[in-house]
Amino acid sequence: MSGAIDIGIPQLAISLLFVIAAGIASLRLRLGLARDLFWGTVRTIAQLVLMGFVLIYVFRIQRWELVLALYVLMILFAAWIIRGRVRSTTVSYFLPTFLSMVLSYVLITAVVVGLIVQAEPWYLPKYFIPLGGMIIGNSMNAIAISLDRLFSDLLRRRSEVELLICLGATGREASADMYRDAIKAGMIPSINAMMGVGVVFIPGMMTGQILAGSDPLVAVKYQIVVMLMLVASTALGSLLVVSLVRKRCFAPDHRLIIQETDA
Amino acid sequence: MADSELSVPETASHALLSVRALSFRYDRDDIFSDVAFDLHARDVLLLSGPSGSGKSTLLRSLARLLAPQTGTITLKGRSWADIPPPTYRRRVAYLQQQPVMLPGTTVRTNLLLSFRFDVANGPDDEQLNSLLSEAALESIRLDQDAGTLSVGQQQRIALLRLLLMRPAALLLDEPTASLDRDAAQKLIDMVADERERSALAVLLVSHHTDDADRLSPRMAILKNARLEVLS
Repeated sequence: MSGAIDIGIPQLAISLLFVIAAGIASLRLRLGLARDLFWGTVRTIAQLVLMGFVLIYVFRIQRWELVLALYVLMILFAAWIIRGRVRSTTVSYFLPTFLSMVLSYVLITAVVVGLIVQAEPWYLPKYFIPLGGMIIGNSMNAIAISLDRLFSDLLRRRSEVELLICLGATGREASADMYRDAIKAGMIPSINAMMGVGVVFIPGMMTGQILAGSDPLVAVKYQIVVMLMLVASTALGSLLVVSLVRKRCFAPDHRLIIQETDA
Repeated sequence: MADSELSVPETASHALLSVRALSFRYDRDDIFSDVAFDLHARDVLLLSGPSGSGKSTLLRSLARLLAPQTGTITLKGRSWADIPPPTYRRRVAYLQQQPVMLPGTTVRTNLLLSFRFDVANGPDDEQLNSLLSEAALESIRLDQDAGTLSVGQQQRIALLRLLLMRPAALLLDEPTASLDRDAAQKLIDMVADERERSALAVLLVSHHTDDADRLSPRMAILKNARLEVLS
């Protein structure tokens, strides 16, 4: 691997022109996005530089506890972000969401790194953290979509759910349709991505590998693994989260207890 | 517990449905408090009261769609705490105010919904058709989309769907509120017929007391969070 051409700091500064142009457009057109663009840029630079230093440190230490601890911390942040994207109800879902994400993501990342890539050891941070990060980034959206769909369907179709409950259904039976629809809604984007990949767009990871000097065919193999792993992680993540959270929408006597709350 | 254990004949010692000290609070407001009454087989209790007085909340509590903070309900002498909730709900059947048909499904599917959650087999088409005729719904086909029916027809289908569970008691929440006079009368006739046939007990919430004349009900009023049974 010859490695990518390094970008100098002055050259990096040139890329700021892109965002400045967008900022000017926002001001001219009164889009009201200038502030968000500014903070978005600051956060992008700060978070990535911080990540860079953390990675240098993590790649050096190579202890499985620390790699996993960092990974779990990343998942914690993702679970936190999901909170902001799902409509607010009386059902608390943070803990089940976080635990399902940890379980499914650690499992899938370990299989990919240890069994497919066959890195030695299985937690080799240079592979584990970037691949794991991709899983989090993608399936975090899937989980947010699934949860939001589950809640909105249960609220919107309340009379239907209560009808089935009155006819002797358990909460599980009465919400079977909403449960399936919620998981499906979460999985569809990653399935659509499989349809378009390589035709409509070259995925970021493959681009990165090619720029870093990898043989395109090696990059392709990695990308195939990544696409399949993303489908698996969105499926497993959504399934676990929706299963656990659906339970909390019903009382032990199968009453539907979810209510919408403000903010 | 199987349904059959709850099908033992009612004895003189206990009412079919016995409600004691039932209270429901919402945000520190008493919706109803210390509600107590008995409902025997064949009894019809007409519950009225100002709108917003908590009649629907009381009915939904009796249907176990809401959980009152205090109180007990016994069904044929057994505390509701000892009856699996789905079994209880099949015995004490609740008709929603607005009829709910499962979207995009046929009349047949809607009528047979409860059998999805029951070991028993549902009636066949011939039996269903004869039930439709008895309910003055002979013009309806079983494979018709239930969503195309009028509200009055849907409400009768919804009632028929409940009666197919062979409940011991029926909770009706203003079932005639959105029906014209003719459709309302047909619905009340169905209730009256079933009461004759199976000694069904009925708790009916209604503003139109004359609707229920044929059932010659006892009257009760829910007012200022208190239930008063008048006769």
